[in-house]
Order: sequence, then C-alpha cells, then structure tokens
Amino acid sequence: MKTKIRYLRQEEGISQQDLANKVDVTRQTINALENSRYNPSLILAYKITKALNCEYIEDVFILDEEKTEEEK
Amino acid sequence: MILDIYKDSLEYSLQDGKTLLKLGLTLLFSFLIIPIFFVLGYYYRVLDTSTHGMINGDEKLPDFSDLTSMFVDGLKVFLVKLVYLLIPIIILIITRLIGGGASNLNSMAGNGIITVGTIISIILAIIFYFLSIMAVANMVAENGSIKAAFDFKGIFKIITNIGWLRYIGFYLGLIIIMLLISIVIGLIITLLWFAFGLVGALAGALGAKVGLILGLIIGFAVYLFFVYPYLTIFESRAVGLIYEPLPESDEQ
Amino acid sequence: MSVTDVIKESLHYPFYDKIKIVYFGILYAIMGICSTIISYLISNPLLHSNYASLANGTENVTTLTQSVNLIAAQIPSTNWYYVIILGIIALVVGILATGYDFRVIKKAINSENSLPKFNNFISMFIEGLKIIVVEIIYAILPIILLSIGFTIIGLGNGGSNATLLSIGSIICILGFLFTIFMVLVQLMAVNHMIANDGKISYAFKFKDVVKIIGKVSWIRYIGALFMLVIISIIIGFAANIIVSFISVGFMMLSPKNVLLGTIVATIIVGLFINPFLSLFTDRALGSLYNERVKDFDIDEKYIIN
Repeated sequence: MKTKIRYLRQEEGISQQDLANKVDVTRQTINALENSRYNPSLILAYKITKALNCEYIEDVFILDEEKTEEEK
Repeated sequence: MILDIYKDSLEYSLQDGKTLLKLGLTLLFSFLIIPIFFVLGYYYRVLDTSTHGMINGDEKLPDFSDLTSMFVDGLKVFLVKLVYLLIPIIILIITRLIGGGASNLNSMAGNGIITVGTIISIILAIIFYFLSIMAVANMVAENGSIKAAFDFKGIFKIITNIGWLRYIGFYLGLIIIMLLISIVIGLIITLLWFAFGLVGALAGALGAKVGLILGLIIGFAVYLFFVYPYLTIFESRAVGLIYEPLPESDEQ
Repeated sequence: MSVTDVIKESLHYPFYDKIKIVYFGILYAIMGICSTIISYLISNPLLHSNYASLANGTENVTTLTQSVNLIAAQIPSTNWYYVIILGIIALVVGILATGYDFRVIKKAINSENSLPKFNNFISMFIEGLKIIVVEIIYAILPIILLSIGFTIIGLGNGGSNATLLSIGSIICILGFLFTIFMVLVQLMAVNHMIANDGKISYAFKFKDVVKIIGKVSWIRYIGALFMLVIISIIIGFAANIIVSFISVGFMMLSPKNVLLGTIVATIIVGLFINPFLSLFTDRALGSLYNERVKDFDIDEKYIIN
C-alpha cells in the first residue's frame, strides 16, 4: 500500500526509529511501510495516523484505486 | 512484522493446489536432472514476486509458462548457491592439506590444525549459507544480475538493515515452522498408514500387506506432491518478503 | 542484452522450426550410426579368443607398434573396407554439419530469427571446411607448446631429473592456459569471419578479434561460454539417462541385439539432442558477437515473436 509516511514523518522531523517507538513496532516495520512493502493491520494504520498528527487514515495510506478496478 | 511474514507466506503458498501438483510432478522427474532446475526456477519466480511485492499483499502464485526461462533462472540460483557453498569446502580442503603436511613435522600440531580448520569451515558454511539466501534474493530483486549475487558489501548492508540477529531468528523460525508442518503431516500420514493396514488386515494377511503398501504410496504421494512443493514456495515467499532493497539515495 | 537474455533467447531458438531440427539431426544421426558401427567392427574381434594369446602374454610384445599391429591383425580384412568407407561418410557428413553451424551463426549475427535453409550442400560443405580450417590453425601453437611440455616431462621421468620434471610441468600448465585462451579467441574469430562474408582472412585478424572480445567484456564472454558448457552438460546428461532406458529396454526385448539397441539410441540422440545443442550453442556464439555493440534503446531485432 502506498503511504505518505516518509513525507509526513520528515515534516514532523522525526526518525524512523522515533516513529517506531511511538507505535510500538520495529524500525524495519516503518521502513517496510515506507517502501510499500507492507499492508499493515487496521489498528497499526490508526496508530501511525495518530502518531503523525493526522486526522484521517486516508491522509496517510493511499489505496491503489486503479488496481481495485482491475480486479473487479 | 515477522509474524505477518509467516502468516502471509503460509496463506500465499496455499492459494492453488494445481500449482503444488505441477511442482510435485516436476519433482517426481528430478532423476532426469533438468526438472531440478525447473523447481529452482519456480523458487526464483516466487522470490521475484515477493521481493517486488508486499506483506499481506494479494499477489498470485507465478505460473509455469516459458520453461526455458525457468530453467536458466533455476540454473543461476543453483550456481550462486554452489559458489557460496564452495568457499567453506575449499577452506576445509586447504586446512586438511596443510594439517596433513604439518603432521609430518609434529602430529599434534597437524591434528590441531585439521580440527581447528574443520570447525572453522563448519562455522563458515553456516554463515555462508545464511549469506547465500540473501545473495540469491538480491540477485532476483536486481533482475537476475549475477553481479548482485556477489555484491558482498551490498548484501552485508541489506542484512544489517534487517538486523543480523533478527534475520537469523527469522530464518530459524522458518525452519521450525517447516519442521512442524512436516512432522504433523508425517504423523497424520503414519496414522492413516496404520489405518490402511488395519482395514486391510480385515481381509486377511494379504489384505494387510496391500493396505500397508497403499498407505505408504499415498503417504509418499502426499509428501511429494503437496508438502515439499508447499514448503519450497513458503520459504521463497518468506525470504522474499523479509528482503529489503537498499535505498538509492542515503536515507536513514 | 544481458548474458542471461542471450542464453534464454538461444534456448528458445531451436524451437522456432521443429522440422529443420530434424533435417539437421539427420546429419548427426548418420555420424552416430557410422561411429557405432565402426566401434562395433573394431571391437568385435577383441571378444574372440584370438586375442587370448595376447592376454596370456604368450606373444612377445615389446613395443606399442607391435601390440597395435597384433590387435589390427585380429580384425578381419573385410571389416577394414567398411571402416574406411564409414569413416569417410562420417567425415563428410561432419563437415556438412559444421557448415550448417556456419549458417546458424550467420543468422544470429544478422539477428534473424528463422533457422537457416538446409539446401545448397556444396556451399554448406565449403562453409564447414572454412570453420574446420580455422579451428585447426588456431590449435597448432597450443599443441606445439603442450607437446614440448610433455616431452620435457618424459625426458625427466623416472624421477631422475627433478628440474626437467618441474620445467615440463610448468610448460604444460602454461600450455593448458594458452589452449583455453586460444579457444576463446578462435570462437570469436569464427564469428568475425562469418560476419565478414565468410572471408577466412578475417578469422586471423588476431588483434581485431581480441579487441572485439574486449568490447563484449571478457567476464561476460567467459560467463556466457561457461553457461553454454554447463547447460550442454546438463542436457546431455539428461538425454543420456533417457536414452539408456531405451537401450536397456531394447536389450531386454532381444538380448542378442545390443547393437540394434545402441543404434536406435544413437539415432534418437542424433536426431534431436545433438542438433538442439548445436543450434543453441551456435545461436549463442553468434549473438555474443553482436554484444560488442552497446545498444541503449530496445532493438526490434531482439524482440522474439
């Protein structure tokens, strides 16, 4: 899943490790999320959204619209 | 995240029974040597899907098209793993030669050299085995570039990025899962085997023998056509998911 | 193209025209049958008791020539005529096959995806001859070096002269390395000759050929050849396994006809496996020649239908 995590994180001025500590995961997990290598659970998605001071999940996680259209 | 990788890989490999059958069929003919490379080629393809894919993504199992590509890719995997295995073996041979020569001067020193050398080569073999797994993943992620398979600096950085202990723990976890699956299925098969034997025994001694043999064949078939292919795909998927390519620019 | 892509395309190539493979295969089948019969004709007498006297040591055999003459004398003279005729047939067919190799390499260099035509046997013969001449001439120097090495070893034998032994061994090792080098150059030299309208002189423009290999990059070149060898070995191994099943099957049907079983197996290998491997190898060699040029855009010529 595409994410704006890296952009938002850098805006907040925090490192991957800091964000990881905030949401209680490993730094590698944050890295994987930023590289679009991980579809996180709903709970983790919410936690990250809060940790990045955003209101909605959709501001942080971007659903790939084209792909879901293809699958229909 | 690693638990997610395990879960994803377990589900991923179970997507399509037909694929497992095809792989099993290929394994059946491995005495012809060429099919071995087809299986490795399929391992390559799953790695390809996984290194470019996502944990909890909805990637499909790769198909069996273009057998020549599968053969060549499988051959490359084989060669890379062979080279990584060769290095410890060469060191073992060299220490044996040196130790043997030294024994002429002082047998205790000679034996000492051989023992130390053997221990070192075993340790090296284990290290190189772990390295070779990421080396193959790196090669696949870089579109099959052999250079990437021997980019020691890069591979080192990648494993450091994953975390050395984390990586080793991950792979040991993989092995444990694979063993558990094998053992459980093995137990079930053995129970069925006995059941077949007992049922056959109702028809007399000959029936018992037939039952046991049937049970054995079915057990063998299940293992060959389902368990082994399943575990191959499972391992490949998991390795591909934990692989993390190095960023182009310098990120954290 | 990467080396992997060259290899993959070359493996696909023989499948483009299944009929021409069989034509090509007929040549190999003929060669195979000839050599099988030749070895049968030569070996048969060795099974007879005529040879027992040699085995018992009752004959006085002191030199190599004497023993060869003795063995040769055991073979009925009529067989020799057959051996010579079969040998000539095999030789001619072999040169023709090499001529087809010439054409396959040419197609590869011209990036054409079809298999070459199987006609005009006279020019096929000449083309084969050209390649063989190049191979022979490239082999001369290495053979000389190796012979010198082996002779020196022979002179230092009996442990009497250790320095001669070591000098000879060093020369032999150098000889082997030199042979490998010459083979590498010779393969590309043949490509160069074919690329320039088959003019033999081009095969001997040594400096140019070495430069061309440099443009392909020695590592990629050697890597590609390495893959070629390994794949050929694997396919050959697998083919052998299948074929021995067939031969054994034949032998079980009619124990007397070991010869028939071997011939059937030889025909199958000749008709399908040998031409496949040759087409694969030649295609790869020709494609490697094209690798001396770096294309930075995707060439239509490399797109396979």
